[in-house]
Amino acid sequence: MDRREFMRRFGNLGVASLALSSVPWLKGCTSAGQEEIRDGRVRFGIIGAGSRGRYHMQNLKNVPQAEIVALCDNYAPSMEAAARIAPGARRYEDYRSLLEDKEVDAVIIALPLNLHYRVALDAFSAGKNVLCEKAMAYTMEECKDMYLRGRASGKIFFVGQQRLFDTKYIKIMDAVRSGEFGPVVNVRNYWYRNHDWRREVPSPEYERHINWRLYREYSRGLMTELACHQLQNGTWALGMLPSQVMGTGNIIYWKDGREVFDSVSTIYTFPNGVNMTFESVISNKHFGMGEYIMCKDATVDLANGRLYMEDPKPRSGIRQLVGDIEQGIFSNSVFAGTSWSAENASSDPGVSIMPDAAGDGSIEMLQAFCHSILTGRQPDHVLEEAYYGSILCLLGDEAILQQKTLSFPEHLKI
Amino acid sequence: MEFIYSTRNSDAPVAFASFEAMHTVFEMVAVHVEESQARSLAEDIRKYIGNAEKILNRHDPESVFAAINSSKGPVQVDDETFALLQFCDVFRRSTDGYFDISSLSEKSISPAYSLDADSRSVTLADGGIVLDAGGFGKGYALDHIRKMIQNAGVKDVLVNFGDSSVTGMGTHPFGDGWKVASSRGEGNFILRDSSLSVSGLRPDGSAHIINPKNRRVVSGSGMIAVEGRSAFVCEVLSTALYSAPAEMRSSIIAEFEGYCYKEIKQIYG
Repeated sequence: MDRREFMRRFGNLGVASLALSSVPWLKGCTSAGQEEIRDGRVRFGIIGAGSRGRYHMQNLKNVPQAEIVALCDNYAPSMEAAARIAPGARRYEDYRSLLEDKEVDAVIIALPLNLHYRVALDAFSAGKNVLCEKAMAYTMEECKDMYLRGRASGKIFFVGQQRLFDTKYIKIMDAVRSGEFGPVVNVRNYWYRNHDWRREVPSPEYERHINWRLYREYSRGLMTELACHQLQNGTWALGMLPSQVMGTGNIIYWKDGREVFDSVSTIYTFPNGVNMTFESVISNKHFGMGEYIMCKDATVDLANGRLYMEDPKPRSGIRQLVGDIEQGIFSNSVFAGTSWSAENASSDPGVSIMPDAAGDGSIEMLQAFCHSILTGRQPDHVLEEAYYGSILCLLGDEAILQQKTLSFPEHLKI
Repeated sequence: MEFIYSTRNSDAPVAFASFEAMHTVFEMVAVHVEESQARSLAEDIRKYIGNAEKILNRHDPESVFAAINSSKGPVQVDDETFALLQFCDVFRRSTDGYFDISSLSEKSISPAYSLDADSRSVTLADGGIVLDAGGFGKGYALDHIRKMIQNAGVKDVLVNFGDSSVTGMGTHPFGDGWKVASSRGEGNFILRDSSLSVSGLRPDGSAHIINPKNRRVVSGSGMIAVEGRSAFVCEVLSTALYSAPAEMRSSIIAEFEGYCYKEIKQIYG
């Protein structure tokens, strides 16, 4: 299957071509959905103006209905940087003051993980719509409570799993779930970096404030900061939740006082026996970031948008030869070389199936969030998908900490 | 099997067939042939290679080579295997030992096996001897396939076995042979009823050919391409010349009239 055939079978890209019944949360980003809220306005308060918060602010500038009216951060450099993006926004040092601001319709929570739960609950109590960064909360129980309270509030509640809004991923996943490439036999996720994961600290008293990702009090480390991007791949591709997880983690290189692991390996096993792995090491970046859905007949490389069929395809030189004969050309067939062996890792470059669509779904997520607020309709499933994504991250970290194989807790199923 | 038949160019209807075999890919391009005949020929070739693997594939416990490798004494073999082992021994001697199908063995014993013509049997010289067809199997099969194609009355064909063994029969419909170029180096060849075999590092840069003389993996950066009539002989020679010291290559190939070789710098990336 080449790109042309892939597109022919699965259609052109774009939200309009998707079966919205399977991804109902995308309705808000369709042209019809956007038309529905054309004259609407959503006033945003940003709680946490660090790099992630400012990333959302930049994206909000591309959403016509969005207006940033309030900012909150207790770290002056972040606040100043955010104010340059939204100069007219009111500034708060305490998030509770922002929540009292009647001119704020919705908040984006981009804080250290340990604060998500408390701030989100306070936001629901204040009658705000909430978009909370992933992972959802510090513990699985907090996630469950946050989910229940968010739904009970009647307000719109999104978690920042932008990939759920990335039409590229959705399109490819549609193809996987249709069985086009045979049954899914493995899901492989990894994220390798060679960096200490630290941010510059102006003076030592800011260390834990700025580098909160490195300390257990605030963060669950690689599992909540990186795995949360990838673990939904398996549930999405297989249409089920893993039944158990095992894992191991250690601080193997960056022994600089941090408390979270700099190396983790986890295996999630689904009820049908299929495994999904997540690995991360931040002292070697050779393999970079990868997300692979391995099916019986093909491997889908989600990160690079490429498809590798299991059946070796003819070398390009021979293919070219057939085409040249058709056109009456006496060509040079370039293929001779040392033995190509099926037992080696395939050197097949695969075919591109990634549509030309740009972006990672972040803007579409904000569009859908605004649409939901202005129409008063929480889309089906979007919160549940994000909830399970967070639970899987946290369950993996628990398995590592307890050094046990953990079953998916029944009481956390919603 | 993947099969394509195109009559887009009415002057040169072309058939293409491809399938996995011998741990790699077999491909055939045939012109001026009816679709049904091309398909039938490709199917017959696939069956033949399957049968050849039943002799040569030492990883298959049911194969003849596996039976020989696990034997403790004389093993009676069929005529084809017997003749093949005779050929391999002749090639070992005529390449000064640089082609040796026992190069993967634990010990260096040469000759590694003896043949008894009366009983049509082979006896290994010692335990731990491993006979392996990796250095000639595809070429050996290609020679038989060439005869199958000739017997079918098909004249203009290019067959490629794993990129490293290629046979061109007749001519390209718009040329005077089949132009073949190396994908990782500067080798250009025109095959006219001749074959080409290439030995060197694998496409991923890993070394896999064992020098039978010192039992070390040959890690030279160049490739050796040998061209001549028989794909079997080409593969034997490219394997041997790749292991042999550069200064011995000319004298080795001089023993094989009608064969020539080319050293190709191997390029990665």
